[in-house]
Amino acid sequence: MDINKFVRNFEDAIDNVDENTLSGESKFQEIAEWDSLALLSTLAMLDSEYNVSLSGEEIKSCSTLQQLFDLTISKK
Amino acid sequence: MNDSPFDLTGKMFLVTGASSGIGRQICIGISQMGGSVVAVGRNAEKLSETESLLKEGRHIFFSADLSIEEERLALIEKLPKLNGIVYSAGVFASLPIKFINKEKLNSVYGINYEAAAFLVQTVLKKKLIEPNSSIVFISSVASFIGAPGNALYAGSKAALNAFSRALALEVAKSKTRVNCVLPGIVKTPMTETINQQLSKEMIAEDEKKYPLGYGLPEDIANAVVFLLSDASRWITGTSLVIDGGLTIQ
Ligand SMILES: NC(=O)c1ccc[n+]([C@@H]2O[C@H](COP(=O)([O-])OP(=O)(O)OC[C@H]3O[C@@H](n4cnc5c(N)ncnc54)[C@H](OP(=O)(O)O)[C@@H]3O)[C@@H](O)[C@H]2O)c1
Repeated sequence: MDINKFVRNFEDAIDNVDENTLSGESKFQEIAEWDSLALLSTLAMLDSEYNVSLSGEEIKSCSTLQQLFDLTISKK
Repeated sequence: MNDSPFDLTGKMFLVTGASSGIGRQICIGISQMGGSVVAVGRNAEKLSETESLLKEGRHIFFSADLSIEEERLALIEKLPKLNGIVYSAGVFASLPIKFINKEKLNSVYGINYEAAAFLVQTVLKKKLIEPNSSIVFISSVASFIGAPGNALYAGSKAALNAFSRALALEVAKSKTRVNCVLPGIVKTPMTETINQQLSKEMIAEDEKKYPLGYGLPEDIANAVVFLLSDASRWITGTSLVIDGGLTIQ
């Protein structure tokens, strides 16, 4: 599993985010498209692509996509 | 007590979802009004917790996964004559439409709608229900308001609403009544799981939308007990919204 694929999966899950616009450094909860549907979509993506379920609080605790990736890996 | 039209003494009700939350509280409410239950859930341990909370009666406890036909039929074999059914078994799913697939659809519709429809159908076919009975489906306000991620869940509940209206007409001749109860958010193990997905601020924000705050299981159970009793004998085919004022706004 690599961070680049993870970022692509995230971009894919969130509406109106273009491909290759984010990176591991991106503060995903600060992008304009981040809302409750984006949160649900992120949870659904983590479940379908990584078979990991995180809580809302856990997602909130991550600042960058890299941190979210690391947390996801740690739950595998 | 026996003169009260709300009394359920001597009556027997099938209650699904009896191992938790709203269904468990409905069993308690029925037993407090003198009635007995066939209490169904998957988890035998949680069912026996329900048992410990009931007043005495001719209660029967049965573990079954109602989405599996064989297990439904095994339950049917054990049923006494019924004076009513409460279908409270159900699962919630919060899934944006982009992530829906056949498997997820089946897992939600399977227990929320299909199992309800076939369980009631079999009870009717086997003539296990007395005249003047009452059937109640626990639907949801989600069946008529939109929310992101709710497509599957809301659809399964809207299907229940529609099913119950047709059923109400088909059983009216035997004076059996059919109604849906549509709760807003009630604090149960189900909502605890949903809240896992949200942050504390989001939950606090959501509860503010409820003029009377979130509900408790007894807020639903008391209305169901009324719908099961003769006090509601002229009420059929309705969808009773119980949501602390959420949807009047
Ligand atoms: N809580 C709310 O805010 C709310 C709002 C609107 C509508 N509702 C509806 O109210 C009903 C009860 O909800 P609740 O909050 O009490 O939920 P809950 O605490 O999660 O209880 C759900 C019940 O359904 C049973 N169940 C689930 N899948 C089953 C299966 N395949 N076979 C047999 N039983 C199964 C569970 O049994 P086991 O645990 O033994 O498996 C449990 O007894 C549901 O239909 C729900 O959609 C709830």
